[in-house]
Amino acid sequence: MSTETSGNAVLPFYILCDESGSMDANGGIDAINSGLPELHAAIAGDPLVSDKCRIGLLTFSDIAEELLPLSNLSDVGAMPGCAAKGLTNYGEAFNLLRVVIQRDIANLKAQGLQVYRPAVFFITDGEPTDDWEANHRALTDKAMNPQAPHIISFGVAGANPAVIGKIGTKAAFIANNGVDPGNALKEILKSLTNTIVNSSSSSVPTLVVPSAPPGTTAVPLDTM
Amino acid sequence: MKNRAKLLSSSYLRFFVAACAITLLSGFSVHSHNEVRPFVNCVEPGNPPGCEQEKKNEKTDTTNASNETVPTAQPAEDEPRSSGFFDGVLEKTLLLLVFSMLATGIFFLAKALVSPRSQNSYTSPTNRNLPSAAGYRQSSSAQAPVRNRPQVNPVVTANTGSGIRTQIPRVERESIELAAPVQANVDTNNVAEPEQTSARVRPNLVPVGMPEAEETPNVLDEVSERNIIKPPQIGDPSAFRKKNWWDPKVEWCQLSPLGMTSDITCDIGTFGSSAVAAASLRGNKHKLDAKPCQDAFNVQSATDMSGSQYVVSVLCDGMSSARYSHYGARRTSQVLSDALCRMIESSDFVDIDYVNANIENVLEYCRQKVIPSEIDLFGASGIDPSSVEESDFNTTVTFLIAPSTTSSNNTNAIVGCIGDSPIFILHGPEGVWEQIGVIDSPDELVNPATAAFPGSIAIAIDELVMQKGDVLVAMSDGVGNFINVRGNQTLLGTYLAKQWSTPVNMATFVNDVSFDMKSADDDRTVVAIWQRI
Repeated sequence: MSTETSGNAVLPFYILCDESGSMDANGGIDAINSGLPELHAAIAGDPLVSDKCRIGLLTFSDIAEELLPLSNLSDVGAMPGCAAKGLTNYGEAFNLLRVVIQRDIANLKAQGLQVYRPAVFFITDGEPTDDWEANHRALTDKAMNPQAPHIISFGVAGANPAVIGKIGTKAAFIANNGVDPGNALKEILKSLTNTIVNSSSSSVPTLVVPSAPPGTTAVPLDTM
Repeated sequence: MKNRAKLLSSSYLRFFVAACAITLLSGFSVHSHNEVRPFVNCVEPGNPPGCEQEKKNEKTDTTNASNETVPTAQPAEDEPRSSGFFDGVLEKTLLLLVFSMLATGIFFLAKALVSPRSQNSYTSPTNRNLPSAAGYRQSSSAQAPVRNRPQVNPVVTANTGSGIRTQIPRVERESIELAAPVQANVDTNNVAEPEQTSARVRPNLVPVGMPEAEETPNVLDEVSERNIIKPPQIGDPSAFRKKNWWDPKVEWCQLSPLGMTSDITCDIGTFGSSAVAAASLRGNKHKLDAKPCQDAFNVQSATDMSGSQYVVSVLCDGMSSARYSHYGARRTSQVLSDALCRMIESSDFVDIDYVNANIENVLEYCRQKVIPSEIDLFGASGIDPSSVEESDFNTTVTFLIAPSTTSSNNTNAIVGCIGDSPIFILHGPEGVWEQIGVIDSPDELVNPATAAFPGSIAIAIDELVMQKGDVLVAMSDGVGNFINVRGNQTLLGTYLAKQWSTPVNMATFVNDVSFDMKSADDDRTVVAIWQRI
C-alpha cells in the first residue's frame, strides 16, 4: 500500500507547432505568437482548468525543440514565442514528443498525481521533408508506447490532407482552399484553447474533441 | 364682460370694420358657409352631419387629402365664388386679399367672444407645426404618440406582478397580490432587460503578464488572535485556496440565483446503536458557476415489526448534464429514504432477500414522486412541471440500511447503488478503506457514462458483513474518487481514515470534508455510520 498518491487528476496537453521557414512568409508564426498569450490568459485565469491541466510547447523545423516544458500555466509568467527557420521534419518532432511524454508522466506520477492520457495538438503548414511514419508509429502505437497520446492534427496552406489524416488519432482538420493561413491559424489556436478549457472543466477530465474551426474542414482519420 | 369690452375696442375690431367697408365698396358678399369648422372631425369614422362636403373635396383634391396628416385643425375652405363683376387679374387678387382679411377678421372676432375651451379647437396656420393639445388629441395621425406612452394601470400591473424584477428569467408563476409598485416616469423603450444568468457563470479572465494590483492575503494564512479554521491541505494548494472567496477581483464563489445554494448540509446524531455523521458541501466548480449543490443526502430511522432498528440513508449525486439535478438529488434522497423506512416498518425481518423482492416497487413509486407536481413545490424553485423530462432530474442513488439494535444478531448492512457513487467500509483499527461496488475505470480520457435515477431503476444490491470497529461510509465521487487510486490508498484516504476511525464532532467532520486539493472541485457528500459499542 502506498500513501504517497495524492489523487490529484492531471490532464497533459502538448502543442507541437511547425516553425519551418514557410510559416514566416504566410503569417503563420505571427498568428501563433499572438494566439499563445491568449491561450495562456484563458487557462491561467480559470482556476478549474489551471488546477487540472498542464501545457507543454514543442516546435519543429530541421530539428525539434521543447520551448515550454509541461507546466501549470498559472506558474508561467509568459509564453515563449516561435521563430521561423529551416525545413519541416515531422519525424524529429514525433521522436522528441515521445521522449518528453515518457519523462513527464514519470515525473507527474512521482508527485503522486493521477495522470490522464496526454493530448497533442499538431500544427503544420506544409508537407513533411523527412521520413516520419516510423517515428509516428513509435509514438502512437499503444503496443510500442503505453503512454501513447491522443493526437488532433491541423494543417494549413501547403499541408497535405492525406498526411494530416494519418497523423491525427482523434481528429484532423485542414484549412479550406483560399483561406489565409494566418487567419486559419488564429481560429485553430482559439479552437485549441476551447478544447483545453472544456476538457479540463468537468469534474472528471474528459478530452472534448473540437469541431472543425472556422475556415477548416475535418479530414477522415487514417484507418488500419 | 370687462375683458370682452376690451376686446371689442381692440385692433381686431378695427380691422374687421375696415374689411367690411372695403367689401361693401367692391359690391362683394361673403357666403355664410365660410365659417370655421374643425377639420379633424371629418377624418374619423362616424363623422357628424355636415362633413360630407369635406369628404367629397378630399376625393377630388389630392393636396387636401395629403393634408390629413397635419395634426392641426384646418378651416374648411371652398373655392372662392366668382362674383361676375371682376374678371381681371387685379380684381381677383384684390378680391382674394379682401376675402382673406375678412375671414381673418371674423376669426379673431370669434376668438375674442368664444369660451377659452373653444379657443383650443383651432390652431393658427402660422403655428401648424406646434399643434395645441386639443388638436393633438383629435387628429388621427397625432394619436400615434399617445399609443406609445406607458400604459399606466396600477391595478393591472399589480395583478400581473410585472413590477417585480428578478435577476434571471424564470418560468411563469402564479400571480401574487401586491401593492401597486411605484412607477418611474420613464419611456418604456428604456426599460432595462432582465439580467441574464449566463453572463455571470464564468469568471472574468485576468490577462497573465499584466502587473496585478496588490494581492489580498488569504485569511487562512493570517497570523492573528482570530481563530480561523483551516481545512486539511492535501498536496499543493488549489487555485481556489490561494484567494479569499470574497476577493473583489474574482467571481469564484457565487450564490445560486435560484436560492438553496446549500453550501453545507449536515446531520449528526444517534439512533439505537448507531452514530451517524453526514455532510454535503458545494464544490468549487458549482461555486464558480453560480449553481447550487447537486449532491444531497437524507438520513432517517426505522423499526421493523419485530422491534429491530435500522438507520436508513440515501445519498444522491445529481448529474451535471441534467437541468434540475439539484432538485432531483434532494427529492430522490427524501422520497426514497421515506419509502425504504415504510418498507422496513411493514416487515418482521429485513434481509437482502426482502429488499431484493421489494426494491423495484419502491423505486417505481419514487420515480413517480420525483417530478414536482407544481411550480412552487418546496425546493423546486424555477421548475415548470409541464416542460420537464424525467432525465432532467437524473441523479446517482446510493442507499444504506444499517442495523442499529445492540441485541440483534443481524449485524449485516444492506446497500444498493445506481450509478458510480462509491460505498466503503472503513476498517477503523487498520485505517484501511475497502471499496464496495464501482471501481474507477483503468482507461483514461473516457467519458464516464453512469446510470442514473429516475431514468434507470436497475440497482445493484449487496449485503455487507460488518465487523467490530468497521465504519460504513457512502460518498459521492467528489470525495470517493480520491480515496483509492488503482488500488493505492491516497494521501486523502489515509488522512480521513485516521480522522474517522471513531466518531468526531460536527465541526471536525465538516472541516474534514472541506479538504483542499487540486482538481477535487466537485460537490462532496459523506454519510458515515459508526457502531457505538
